[in-house]
Amino acid sequence: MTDALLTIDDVNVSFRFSDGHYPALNHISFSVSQNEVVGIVGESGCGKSLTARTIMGILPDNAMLSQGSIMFDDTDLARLDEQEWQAIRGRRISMIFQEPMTSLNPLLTIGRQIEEVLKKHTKKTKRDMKAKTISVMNSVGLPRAEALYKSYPHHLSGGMRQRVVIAMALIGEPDLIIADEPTTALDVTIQAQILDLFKSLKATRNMSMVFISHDWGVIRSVCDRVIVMYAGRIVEEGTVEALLQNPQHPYTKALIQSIPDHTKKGQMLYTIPGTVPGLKERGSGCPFASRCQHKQAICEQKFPEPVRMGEQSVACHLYSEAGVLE
Amino acid sequence: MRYFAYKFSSFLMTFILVSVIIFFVFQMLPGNPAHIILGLDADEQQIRNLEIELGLDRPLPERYFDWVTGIFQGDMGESLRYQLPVADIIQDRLPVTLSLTVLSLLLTVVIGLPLGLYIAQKDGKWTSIVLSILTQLGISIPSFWFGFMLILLFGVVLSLFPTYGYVPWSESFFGALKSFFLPSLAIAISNIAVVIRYLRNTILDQAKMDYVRTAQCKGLSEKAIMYGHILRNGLIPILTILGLTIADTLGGSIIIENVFALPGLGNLLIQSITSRDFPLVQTMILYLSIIVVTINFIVDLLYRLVDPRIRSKG
Amino acid sequence: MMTKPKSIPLFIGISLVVTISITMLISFFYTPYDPNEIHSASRLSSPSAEHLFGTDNFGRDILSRIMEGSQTAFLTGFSAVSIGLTVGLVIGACAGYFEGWLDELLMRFVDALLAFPGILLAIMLVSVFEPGMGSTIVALGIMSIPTFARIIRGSIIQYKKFDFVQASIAKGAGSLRIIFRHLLPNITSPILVAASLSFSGSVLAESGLSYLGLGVQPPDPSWGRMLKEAQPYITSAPWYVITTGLVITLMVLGFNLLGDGIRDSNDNRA
Repeated sequence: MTDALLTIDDVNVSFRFSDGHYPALNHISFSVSQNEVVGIVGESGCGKSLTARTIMGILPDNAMLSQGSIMFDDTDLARLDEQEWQAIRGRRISMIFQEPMTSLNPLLTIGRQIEEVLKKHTKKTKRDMKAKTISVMNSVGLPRAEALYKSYPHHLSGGMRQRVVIAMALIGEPDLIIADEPTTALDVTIQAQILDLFKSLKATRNMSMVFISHDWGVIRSVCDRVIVMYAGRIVEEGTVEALLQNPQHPYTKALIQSIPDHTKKGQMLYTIPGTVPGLKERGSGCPFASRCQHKQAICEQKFPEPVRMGEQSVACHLYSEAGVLE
Repeated sequence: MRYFAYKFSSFLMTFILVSVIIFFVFQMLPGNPAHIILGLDADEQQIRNLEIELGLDRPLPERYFDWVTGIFQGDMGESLRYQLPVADIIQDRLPVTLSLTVLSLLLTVVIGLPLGLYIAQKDGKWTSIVLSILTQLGISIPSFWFGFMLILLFGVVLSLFPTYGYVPWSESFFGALKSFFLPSLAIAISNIAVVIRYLRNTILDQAKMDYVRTAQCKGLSEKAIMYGHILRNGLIPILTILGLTIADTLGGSIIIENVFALPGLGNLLIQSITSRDFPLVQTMILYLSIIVVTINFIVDLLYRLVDPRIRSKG
Repeated sequence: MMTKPKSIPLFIGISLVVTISITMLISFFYTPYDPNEIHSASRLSSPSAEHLFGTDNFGRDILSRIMEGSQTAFLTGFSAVSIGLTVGLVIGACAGYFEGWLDELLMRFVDALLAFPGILLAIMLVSVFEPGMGSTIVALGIMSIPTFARIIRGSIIQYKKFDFVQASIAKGAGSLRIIFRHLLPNITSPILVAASLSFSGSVLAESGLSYLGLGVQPPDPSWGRMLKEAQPYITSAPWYVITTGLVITLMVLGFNLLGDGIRDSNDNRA
């Protein structure tokens, strides 16, 4: 793990409500190496976006990081003050969001919004900044960048706006990019184009990424490794291929089973019964227990320690170091 | 251009409706206006003469048309009481009302905007409760009574400001400023409260927007986000509220001039009503309303400058 | 529920409104003194155990006069809101339900009413009619039409898009039935908010008009006119001005906080 760019170790994040603190992320640990794209999957409400915001240091006002460290190079992000954070955001780590329609400021030109990153983090001249902005806009496939530079977000389609957001994330030449469902809000054809863009960026820029999605198809096409989250916990982790071909955790199995594909033509699509437990409904046991077909008595009491199994690791009482317990 | 044409036509439309409403309301005066003006013991001949003088023998639409076009040509008719052209009388009184309005707006902007901005950044449960009660109190105080309280405090107890009367600007700049200060403050207090309330709500609403999170992720400081992003987006609602404030300020000066005995349009209006000088009253009301309609039109045009989304609509 | 800090303004609003309402009701049966009884011996006496709020320039008990004046304040406020609500409802419902040219026309008319700054519209109307309680009520009622018309129009346009309304339109239900059975019941809370704020606005405007001598005329009691009468004695009997104005402020504040509180609690629920 010497080449790890980002190492998250035993991180807890909790929300403060009027009636107490509720943990939203429990013992989250994973790492991202240089040039590696790590995917995070799970249903909504599992803490994927919260994990992203934790790494970015933009937690909601009523959330706090109560435990753990986030080592980025040699810096523990969990210990930074706001000013130190500002020097990292946009320059060392940047983020791409789900909602391209609303994540741009409607009143500022595209050029100005992308350039703002350079203005904050570099001491380039005006002309250099503009040249750099135009070249990044070209590289993310924005046509007629010169003209677009002066236009406003409402002139652009959703797909184009997402390219602008990506350009914004790239222009600071960050070491790590966090993409939070960057294709979810887009039309299918546009989705494919943006995914192609990510693939080509991965190939040409050697970038490290955390890529959040609930779509295995998207994960498969861009990620090297994948983390499965459920109700604020990591339940399984491994290479994309390993997890897809040989899922171990009942939740991962269920997720993969519910992927629509042509071999299941004519069958009813599998859906996981029940919903993700809310923040206030989580106990000390495995949060998936209530929806799990293999539930045992111990599942309700204690969350299992993760177990290493070849190219993956899984947190489930069905498995021990020795292998399957059944 | 299309936006301008649309806004201009609705401006014209509102103007015409306002003038028609005013004209017809004054036609509803019970009884013959000449009677009312001259009183019960006037003889037939006097009434006949006055009717012709007022043009009461001509058809309604014609009289309306004459009245409105007259106003644009600077001919607003003649006051019954003063026997002077209405235009001259208004011109005489306008500087007082204008000074009061401008000074009061200035106070609203100079006190309301920075204070609102400062308070908006203090986002706490108790701040917001105390603030909501205090600003609501500012809105609830009758401006003329607040004027009394200012007179009591600054004029009587502290003897800092004159409590009534008017010093023209030409006579003494500081004297005039002093004589306008308390009445302007009395008008401004509710507007300051409105601006603070509104600014805070606008800023808190905008702060939740996705683009703010994007700006955060660029590494921008809170200050840069506030001034470069949030305030720019908040400018549109703030423009709206300032536009409304101008109308309120003008309306407020009608009462306040009477509290502080300032010889402005409001003071003249009430005197004219009491002496039943209806031609003067009718024209003054139209005059004051035109100012408001025009300001609203200008605010509409300003939106275009601020918001590129309106700009590109044409 | 009242223990939540967020509902403190609403709680204060309700307390003020209830206190003043009860005082108003009591004034029908009991006031400390006859509000119109003149005691030349005790002119302009400062607040004391005998006269809690002091006496005015005729030696009349100010508290009794304020209590009696509350009847006028409530009557004008209530009547003005009723007029404004009724007319505003018709205008707003027609404009919102039928849209098109009728909407454009009605809303231009409403805009025209809004173009009169402050209480100028009311001043114009009362100056044309005989000044008095009746014309004051009508003038304030007309002044509050735009608020109701706009809110009702906006909500109707918003709710019209909902499926349950579209379904009854498709079923061929009559317009009146749709408006009264389906649309209006859904917008009672914004109307309630507008009514509360409009009530306080009317009380404020009435006091202004009466202060100018254009509103409520003697012998009807009025807080605004009391302030007009109190003005010459502002230095010799400051309590007269202070108490009367304070009561107006508290009443207006009460209804403003009430309206605002209702709006907030609805926003939170949504």
